[in-house]
Amino acid sequence: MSSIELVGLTKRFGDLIAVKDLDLMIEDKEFVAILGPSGCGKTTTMNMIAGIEHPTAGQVLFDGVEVQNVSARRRGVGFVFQNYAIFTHISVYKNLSFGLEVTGVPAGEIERRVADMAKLVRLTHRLEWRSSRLNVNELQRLALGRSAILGPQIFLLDEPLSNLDAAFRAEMRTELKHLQHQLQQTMVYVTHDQLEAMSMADHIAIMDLGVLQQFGTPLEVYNKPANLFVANFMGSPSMNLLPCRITDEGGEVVLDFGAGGRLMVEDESLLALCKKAARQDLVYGVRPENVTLRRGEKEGRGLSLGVNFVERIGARSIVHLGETDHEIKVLEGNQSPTKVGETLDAVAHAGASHLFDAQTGVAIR
Amino acid sequence: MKSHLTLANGVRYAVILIAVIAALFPVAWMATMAFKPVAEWTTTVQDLTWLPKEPTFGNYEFIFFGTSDQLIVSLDRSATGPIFASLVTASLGTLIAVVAGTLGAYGVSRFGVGKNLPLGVLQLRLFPPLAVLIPVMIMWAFLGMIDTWWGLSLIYGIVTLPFAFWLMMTFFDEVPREIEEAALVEGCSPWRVFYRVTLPMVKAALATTILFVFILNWSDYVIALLLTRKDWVTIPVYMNALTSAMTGQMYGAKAALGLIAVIPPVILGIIIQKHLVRGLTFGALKQ
Repeated sequence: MSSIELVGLTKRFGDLIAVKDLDLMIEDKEFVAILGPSGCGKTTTMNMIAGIEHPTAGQVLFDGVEVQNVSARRRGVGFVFQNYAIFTHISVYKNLSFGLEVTGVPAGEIERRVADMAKLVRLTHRLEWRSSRLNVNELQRLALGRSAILGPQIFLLDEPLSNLDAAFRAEMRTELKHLQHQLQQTMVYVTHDQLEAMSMADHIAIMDLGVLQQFGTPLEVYNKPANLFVANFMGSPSMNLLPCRITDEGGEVVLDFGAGGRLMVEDESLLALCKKAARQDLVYGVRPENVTLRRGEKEGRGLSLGVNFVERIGARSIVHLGETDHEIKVLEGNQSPTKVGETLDAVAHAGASHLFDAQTGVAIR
Repeated sequence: MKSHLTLANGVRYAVILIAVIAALFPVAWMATMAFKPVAEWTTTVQDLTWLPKEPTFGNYEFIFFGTSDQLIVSLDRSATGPIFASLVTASLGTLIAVVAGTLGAYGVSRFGVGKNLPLGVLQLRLFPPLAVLIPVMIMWAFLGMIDTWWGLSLIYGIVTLPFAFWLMMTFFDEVPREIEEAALVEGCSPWRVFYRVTLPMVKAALATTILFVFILNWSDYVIALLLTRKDWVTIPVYMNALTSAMTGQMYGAKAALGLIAVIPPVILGIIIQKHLVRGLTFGALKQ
């Protein structure tokens, strides 16, 4: 059992608030990703869980027990650093045995556990090498092995895959998930890569400017973003976000996009959202994959926009339409017939629209 | 492939040759002079020779035993004492400077205590030691440390401390913090992190620092001149005394002693050469 609970966790560096009043509950054996752009406070949060940084305020609890006064070396967490932090002056074997020796494990057991772990991270043939000779992929596996060998109940990983080449990164994603199942640990994974977070995590905590924006399952944060930041951050290409005003025209609800056009709301769920809106100024959001482009249909069903640019990225094509302020992106298949200069009707799928309060950025639900 | 002996290359090699000759000439001259009999090193221009015509160990005999059948003068002290004094004081001074400098540098680099301390320490090197040496001499005299091995070692340690401190601080700054944090999380105490992880990683830097500091102490003249009298006179001071009213400068004896004085730094250099050549690569991180 090792759950992690953060209560009102705050960290200041002088005037800078790195993490602000963070509440987070990470259940036992759960894989949680902390996702956010650089400087959002995710690494600081991680360091506070590990005990490398001391919180300015708030508590860190492991299994309900406060640990903020327990030093890093007694917390029993494994930490994999972004830059691996391998001891390059000693051999691979010595790196793996380091933590065990320090904690006074008997020699015979050290040998056995190093051999086991070397097998798990596929470094058996490198054990006698000086670790400075390893390549990046091997360094990464060594870093994982060195932390995992201590059998920590809590495993913290700080952007461990960011230095790897793309092919190996994909392989490691599966491997990490596999490793977690095998070791039955609680894992906290810091990343700025939403693909990593989406593919591995049970829950994702999205942070920005030191503040937790949303905490939920990958699909929850993707499908139901809590605010504009999450909506914009999750997904690639990102969600189309268009400022608009809500107006009532003879009993019909209309979204006015200014120069972008006007949209008579027919979709039931969007209509329901419009009714909940407290203000007139809103931001309308829809994911590129939830928009269909139509030719020569009758007017009024969607926004009529000119095609600016078609980005062909292999499996898909990203069609850019409209002017700068009202630009939207639409995903089409790779055989998309759309050409630059055409004027098309962009129609959102039923139930796929989001509305946000323009002032607070909070999603209207 | 044809060799590219162009004009530019020719000039380049000529310049290098001149520089090498300028650097090695005095050393070579000293080395041959050490084995010349008195007649050859006191000679006038026309009899000047590179290699000794009659090689002799007379100069060594003279500085170690005080007399030589070639010289009418005799020495009241042999070179053994000063060589020993130099070895003891330079080594102890180096030990003091490197130990204190390393620990201090680590503290400043890692825990950031005393923001102005590094500059304050550096300031000690901004004026020549000579400027403060007279007050130091008075203090040392008061404390009874004039002409003692501990007195001289201590001042050597103090004077070279800024060097050790600054060198080590730059090296510590380059050791990534994550390495230490990793060791900390894996169960090391902070002290253990220092000697098991950080110190081994700056081994090369430490070796370099030791060599530099040792050479500084070994070649000091002024401090030893003022703070020693008789028992703990060091090689440079002793060497200066190798003159006589009758023969003037005893170049042969000085060269002989100089050749001996070269040995310790060279040996030290050879021992740590591996680290110097390998350079200072702290390659634990992918930047």
